[in-house]
Amino acid sequence: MKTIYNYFNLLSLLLVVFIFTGCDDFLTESPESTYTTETFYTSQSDFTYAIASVYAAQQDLYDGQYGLFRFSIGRSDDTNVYNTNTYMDGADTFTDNSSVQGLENAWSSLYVIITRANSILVRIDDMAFEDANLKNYIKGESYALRAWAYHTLGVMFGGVPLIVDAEYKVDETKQIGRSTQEQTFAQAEADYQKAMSLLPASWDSEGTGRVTKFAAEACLGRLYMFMGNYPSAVTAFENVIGSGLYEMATEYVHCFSGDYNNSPERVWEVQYIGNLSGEGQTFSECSLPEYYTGEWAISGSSSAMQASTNLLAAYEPDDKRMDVTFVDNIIVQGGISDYTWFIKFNHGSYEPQSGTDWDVNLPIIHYTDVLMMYAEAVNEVSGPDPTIVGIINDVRDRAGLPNLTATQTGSKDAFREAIKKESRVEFAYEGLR
Amino acid sequence: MNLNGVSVKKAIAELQEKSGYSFVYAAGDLNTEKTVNVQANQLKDAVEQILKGQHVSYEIKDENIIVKPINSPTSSMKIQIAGVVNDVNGEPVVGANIFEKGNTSNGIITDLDGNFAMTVSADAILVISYIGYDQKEIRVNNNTRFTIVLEEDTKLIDEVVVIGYGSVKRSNLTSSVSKITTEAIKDRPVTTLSEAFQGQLAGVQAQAADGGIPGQEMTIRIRGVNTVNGDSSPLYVIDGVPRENMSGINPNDIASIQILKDASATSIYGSRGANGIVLIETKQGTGKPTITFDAYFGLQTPETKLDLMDGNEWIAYNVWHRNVDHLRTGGSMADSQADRQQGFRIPDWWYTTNNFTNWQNEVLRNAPIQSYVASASGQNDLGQIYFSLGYADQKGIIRHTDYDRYNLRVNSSLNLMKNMRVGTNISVSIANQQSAGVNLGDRQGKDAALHHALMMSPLVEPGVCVQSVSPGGTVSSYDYGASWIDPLAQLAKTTDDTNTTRVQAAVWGEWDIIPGLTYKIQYSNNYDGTTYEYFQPADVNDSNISTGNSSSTRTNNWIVQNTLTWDKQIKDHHINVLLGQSAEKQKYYIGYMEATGWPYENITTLNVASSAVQATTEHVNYANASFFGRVSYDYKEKYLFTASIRRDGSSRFGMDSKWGTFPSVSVGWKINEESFMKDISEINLLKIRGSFGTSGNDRIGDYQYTALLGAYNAAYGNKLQPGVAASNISNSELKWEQTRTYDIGLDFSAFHNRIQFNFDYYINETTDLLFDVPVPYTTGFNSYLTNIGKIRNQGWEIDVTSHNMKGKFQWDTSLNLSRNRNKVLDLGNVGSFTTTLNDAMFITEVGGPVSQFYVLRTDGFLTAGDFDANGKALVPIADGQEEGNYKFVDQNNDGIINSADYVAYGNNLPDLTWGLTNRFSYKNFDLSILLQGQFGGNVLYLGQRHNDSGMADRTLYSRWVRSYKTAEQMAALPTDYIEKHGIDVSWDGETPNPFGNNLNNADHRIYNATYVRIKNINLSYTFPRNLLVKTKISDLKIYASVDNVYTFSNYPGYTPETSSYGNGTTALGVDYSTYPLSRKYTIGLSLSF
Repeated sequence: MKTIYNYFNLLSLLLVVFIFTGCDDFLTESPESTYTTETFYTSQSDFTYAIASVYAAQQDLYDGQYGLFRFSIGRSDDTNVYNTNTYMDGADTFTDNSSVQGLENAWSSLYVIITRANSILVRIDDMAFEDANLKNYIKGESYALRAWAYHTLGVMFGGVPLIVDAEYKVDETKQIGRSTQEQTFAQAEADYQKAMSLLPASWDSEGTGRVTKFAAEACLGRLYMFMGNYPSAVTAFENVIGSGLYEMATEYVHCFSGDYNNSPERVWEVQYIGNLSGEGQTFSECSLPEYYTGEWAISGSSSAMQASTNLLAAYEPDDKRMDVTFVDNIIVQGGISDYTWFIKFNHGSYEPQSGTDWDVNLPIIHYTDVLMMYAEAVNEVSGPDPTIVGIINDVRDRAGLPNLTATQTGSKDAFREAIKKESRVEFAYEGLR
Repeated sequence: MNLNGVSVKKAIAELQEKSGYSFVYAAGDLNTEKTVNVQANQLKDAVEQILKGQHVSYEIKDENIIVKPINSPTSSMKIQIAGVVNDVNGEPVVGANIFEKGNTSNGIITDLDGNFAMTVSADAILVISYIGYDQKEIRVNNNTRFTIVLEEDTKLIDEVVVIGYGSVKRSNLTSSVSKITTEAIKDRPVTTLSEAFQGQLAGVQAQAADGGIPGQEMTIRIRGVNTVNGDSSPLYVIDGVPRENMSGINPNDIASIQILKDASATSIYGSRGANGIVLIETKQGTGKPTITFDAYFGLQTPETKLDLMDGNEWIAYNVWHRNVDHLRTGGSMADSQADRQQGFRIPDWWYTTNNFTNWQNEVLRNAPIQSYVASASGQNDLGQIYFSLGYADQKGIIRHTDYDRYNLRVNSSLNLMKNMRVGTNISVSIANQQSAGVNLGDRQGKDAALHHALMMSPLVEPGVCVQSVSPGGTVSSYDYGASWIDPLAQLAKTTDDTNTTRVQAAVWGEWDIIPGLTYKIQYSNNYDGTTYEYFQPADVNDSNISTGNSSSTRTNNWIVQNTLTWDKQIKDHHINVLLGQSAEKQKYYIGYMEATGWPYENITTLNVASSAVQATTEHVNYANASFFGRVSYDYKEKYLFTASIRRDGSSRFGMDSKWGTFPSVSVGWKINEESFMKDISEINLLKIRGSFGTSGNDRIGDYQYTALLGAYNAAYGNKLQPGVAASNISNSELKWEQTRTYDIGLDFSAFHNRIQFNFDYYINETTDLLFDVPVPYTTGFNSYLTNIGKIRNQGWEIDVTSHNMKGKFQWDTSLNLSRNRNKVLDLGNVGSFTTTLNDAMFITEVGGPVSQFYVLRTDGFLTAGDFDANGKALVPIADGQEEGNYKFVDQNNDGIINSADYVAYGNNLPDLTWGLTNRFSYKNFDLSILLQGQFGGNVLYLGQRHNDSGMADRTLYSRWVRSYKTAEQMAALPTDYIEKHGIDVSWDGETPNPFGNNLNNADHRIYNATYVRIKNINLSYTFPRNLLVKTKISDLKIYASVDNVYTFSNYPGYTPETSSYGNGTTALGVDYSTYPLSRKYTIGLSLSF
């Protein structure tokens, strides 16, 4: 019995000693399953992961029923007000406020892009890369994505707070006020230009879909168009066209079909892949109504938007683009729907396995758009000429429509109207209206 | 005579036979078993030799030898006594303590028949005591035979109350502690222990937040909600081991439950004490070896059903609705059906059909419930043991839902030495919950089979809406009304199983180093494992693809606790000192897998699925170290004082705030012990007490202080590109939420404790709330986790227990009442924040309670007079509003109704909760009735957006046939049909015009949650012992019980108690198709050998 006694004492004493020593070590639990920022940004591969996360934020921006497309299309006269109020929270009637999810998603995702790009830009210069080109490319991508974010913010919100090349603390960030729209655009312009000087003209197959020098320049051209700086826009578009890397798709459907992702028509698009990779596109599913059964979607969404009669009326008879853009008489809950719905981003041979598994890339800017903006810019600078009239006629020809009439191409104003009309139907449902 | 080595008894018998003389002596005076040698010829010599060494003298008189004890002038004479201890019913009291007063080392306990025998001084006073009985003193007075009757102790006020790391006499408590009596648990057919909490305790709210899902624990809240973003459930301490919950425990194993409420009681648990502590002690072996068998079985029915449209009402409503729809598109009633738009046409057969399906009845059922527990226990000098085996099975009242559980427990201790004991507490529970997908999605709501069943059109028959029968699993809503995937098929075919295995194993040792100084060490190792499996075949899945997932979690933790307790009475001063230390590590693992597409659906495991979707695993670790101490002092049990302190370190806290200190003090004064009150014999206890202290809530999540990297993948190069970025902003100062508690209390007891009264008033102020402070998105993040803000809970609690009638007919009443008011005092740099769930909004704002509903207010209905001749509104309206719609209050007077007119209105926290128990007993019959309820508080019926908003084609609440109808709409009524089926379609004054716009997020779907429930009625019969005496059975009791007998409430949903969004504290009181409660009819028995 005495021995038990002693062992017992010893055991408890040991436990006490064991526990009383090294308390702080005892309490330090480092996450086993999550990475922390303390050890990040310390290798080349860290930066490749970091730049991927910027593209990821761009995907988030376009996600599903609160995505940029749904928000900007729902606001336009391309969709019926009557049914678009579901999930629009007043955005369609311009009675929305800052708590509206579509708006909040846009604002927050764009600033996530900027923040992640800044985190790269403040560190990348101090980091030695094995591949010096890659260092420039990642830097260029960071500038391009930040430029595009400020460009988009400027268009949507006017001037916004400019956070540039810094990681501020919460309180410091609060001190940064709103800039003017000009300042915001100037930041975007400068970033695009830096990006263009660093980015490659194209990527190898491993990098297909990453932003390129000419994608940045095409976007810069679009920014100039918005700013009314037509001569600079002409130059930018000329450089893109002159690169010889792009060509207009032969069929209208090839501009959107998942089968033609990253083809020469596509200058820059948000990248998606199917096969339940988790990187599927979620917007296409929101094109068709809930309980939809058929080939165009899995089951549709209650946030689907109907095409407005106004938009449908904008099409000329026998326009081939109608069948690519719209669908009628679909079956919903055992009955036939009376409305017309969009299917522009529901084309391709890949059958998604869930509503969030679409492989159809979403356009940021495509070549037809570059050409038509070029035509518009030249028209603004010097009026109609055969080259730019040819561009519009090529677009019409692809749609199975006759050339523009002489009246339509007879004056700067008439031709501007013709481009406007053509753009509306050519780029319907792309969030550009 | 010549005798060698015989007993005194034998020698006396020999002498009597040989001499003819008789020995006369009192038993006990002589040791007759003593061995003696006798060699004598003379009688006198023989007698002397027989009595040699005995403390007696003798005298020979006639033919008798009279033996008398020698009276010693210095020490009183020892005598042998014997007897039996019985209770008032004549039943033996086993294990009663008997000792000589003033000589406590001379004591004994009664045997299995209540008998005892001992040697005491002839003039001694015997002290007889036994737990639960009044102590009794009896003078020996030279008597040798005793029949002692013990009376049951009515001074329950002096029971021992378990507090953290110790215990204290209830009358000496200086803190606020409630106890659930064993009566409240035994003979109640509860599957989960938390059910027994309801209505029992002041300051403890037990809410069936998830409704009646079998096996689901209730949400327990002690003194309100102390947190905004954390978890407000209490810490459970089971046999001394801190645990996060008490699920899986066998209610039959419970010996006592104590709830620690104020900081004086909880601060000894430091950073985990702020939400209160539930101390659970399980049974120990006592007395003679006993085997007990407890069983009950019964039937459950839905406690209530929703008042939904029947088939005829559905037809009447939808014919009218389609007619009005047609009129609204410019048609006329004279148009033929073919001229109408599809969807507005009415099939002819509608008017004649009687083929209706009542979907609510289809998915609900009467379901059996049963439980069996066998236990054995016993105690002797070596130690004690209690073990039990249990099985419970509760089928759900929604088809295909089920819960069963197996329990095993061994509690034992071994007395190694007189001053050293070791023991173990081991328990295992294995529970299976089959939910059949009834509460999938966000566990409740939109996608739940129950919700779909409530909305299905009565024209749709079972079996029609499955994918293999019709494309999309739906029938044409134009002809049959609204339908979803067949809920019956979905319930039958969906695998939705949770298996939970819990093992709690502890070993402990206790050593009384010197009298009064005890050291205890306890080591506990606990395992919690869950396996979840889900599978839904394609034909009952919305997307027509079979889908499945499975997750496994494993929580392993060990805890070492060392305590040293010193207890000393020095004259009138009593002091008790506790010093302790504890350390804990926990490892958590979760694995999750998901797949789609099954070639054959008879095998539902993921290994045969055609494509894997996801597979992840994760580890989360946690460590906690603490030092604590407590000093209690009292002077003559009159002035009481306690102080405690705990220092806690946790891996959850930031690098710059790893350790926190949690002190408390409390004082008490027993006024009745003062000389000026001594004479008032009616008052047994009058005590005032007060306490102050702090405790914390460390449930702030693991690793929250550090900036973590999240995976944000992209997809260029035609493949997934792993992306990594910071997922939050780090905060090295992140720490516990801290609650400061002030409590004053009054304990009063009078008339031999026939009335006991306890009152507490408290203020809890919680600061450093864990708060995701919104930050500008320009930081790249939307929030920053920090400690900011302040909440106050203040309230009072009353407990009254009264023994109204004693004697043959007994009647006891206990009542508890509690009131808590919750107020947010500070939210850092924001004045309020809102939470949105579906189309419902909640607001937590400074000055109000947490989680108020944030809605439009209604003000009657829009009348024809509110519109001019052109239909233009003369009052503020929302988009699309018409006559007969709700009229909303334009709070900001801007002339339009929109989200700017939302105001805080009502919240889920009740004003007053109460419970009332009445027990009656007559002879062997006992009857107890438990009433329970709450006043105030609101509940939001979120299901309104689907089945109470007037939509066509769905099954709605039947009130919609009595909706407001404009003059034009009246013309669209199918008058013949209505008359034929006797349907009243006149306006009920409450239901709006379903056309136009009634806006969901408004006060019309918020209801008062006041309810009164007859929670339990229990009648039992205990068989008298004299009937059982010829059997081996020592106790037998049978009972019949009804639970959830009836609820008085104005709430139209299943239960006003609900809170579909669980323990989150920012969206309380939502009912989104909560699982209905069941009324349980059970009979049971308890049998002991």
